[in-house]
Amino acid sequence: MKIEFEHHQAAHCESGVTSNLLRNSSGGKITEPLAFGIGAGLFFAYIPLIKINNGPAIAFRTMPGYIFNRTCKSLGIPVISKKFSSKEKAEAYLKECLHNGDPVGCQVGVYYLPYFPKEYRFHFNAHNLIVYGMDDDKYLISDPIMDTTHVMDSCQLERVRFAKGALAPKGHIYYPKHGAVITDETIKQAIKSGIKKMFIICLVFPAVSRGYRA
Amino acid sequence: MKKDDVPQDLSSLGKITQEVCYATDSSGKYVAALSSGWDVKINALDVAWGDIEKRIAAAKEKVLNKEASPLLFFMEYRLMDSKILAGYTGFWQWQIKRHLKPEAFNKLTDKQLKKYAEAFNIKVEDLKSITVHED
Repeated sequence: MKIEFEHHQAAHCESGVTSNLLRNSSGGKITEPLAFGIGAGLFFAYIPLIKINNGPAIAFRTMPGYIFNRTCKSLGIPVISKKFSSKEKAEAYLKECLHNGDPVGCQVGVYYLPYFPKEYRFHFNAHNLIVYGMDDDKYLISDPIMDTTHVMDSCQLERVRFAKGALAPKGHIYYPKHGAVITDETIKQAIKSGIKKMFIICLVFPAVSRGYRA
Repeated sequence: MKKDDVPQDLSSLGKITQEVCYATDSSGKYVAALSSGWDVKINALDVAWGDIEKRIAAAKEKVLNKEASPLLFFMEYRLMDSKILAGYTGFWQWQIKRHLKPEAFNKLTDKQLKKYAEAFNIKVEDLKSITVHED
């Protein structure tokens, strides 16, 4: 089965996934930069206590999942989001979603992603991609970083969906509820709330390792 | 940044796909532009990988001198620390640290070795003989 879905390349994975998933209900009005803005995606953190690949943790974006959730909340779209402890249940749920015609966003680890070049493979578990259908037993993958779509078999997809380490995705799956309508008025309101959130994150956030003080 | 100034230094990702970035066009409006890589990013990755290569070489020497078990080599090779490996195998971290000693590693059962091999995505024989197949 294949769901009608248009792949668009983006600069960043989560804002790209958000704008691609919302493309149908917004009619293309939610572009990637707009999703990044409404979701208040900009952030800076320097946390020497957490080690990632033997170095201090440095982040330039918010926690995984925040951009999508904030964008949908500001636009008034209900979000369905699930994590799993069982690999079988995770795959069954993914198949059910695809069967219902919903393309879904998945949080994955990049280390075992087959189409990534070797130089980019680190144990980084906050990458996002969209599964938009099945072809025989292969899953159709739209990774917003890549210019074309890819396919992965169920073993490969299971491995990256259940990658381990910091921020383990645990098969995290998310998608906006079917049939939501986005009007210009809601976008206006959402932009305002995005600016407010960004202001709080950058200037009011109290910790010294985050926001502009970092 | 102007659209014409978007860096086009061929990177390893650039061979597979171009990256989207946002730059200003002639009228000053932001538009999406494609970049095939940036020297600064390439250098940063090269430095990071240079460090990793050194760690892998040091680990290999330790294993060959029988100071550590092959586990150490594959942990460095797969960039895993004991926490990540514990997640993949289901062992406790203290067990993994114990298995880093050659004596403890040699006593591992086939079942336990298989768990490690699966986590590293290699065969059990390769784990014992530290053979690396490029993938």
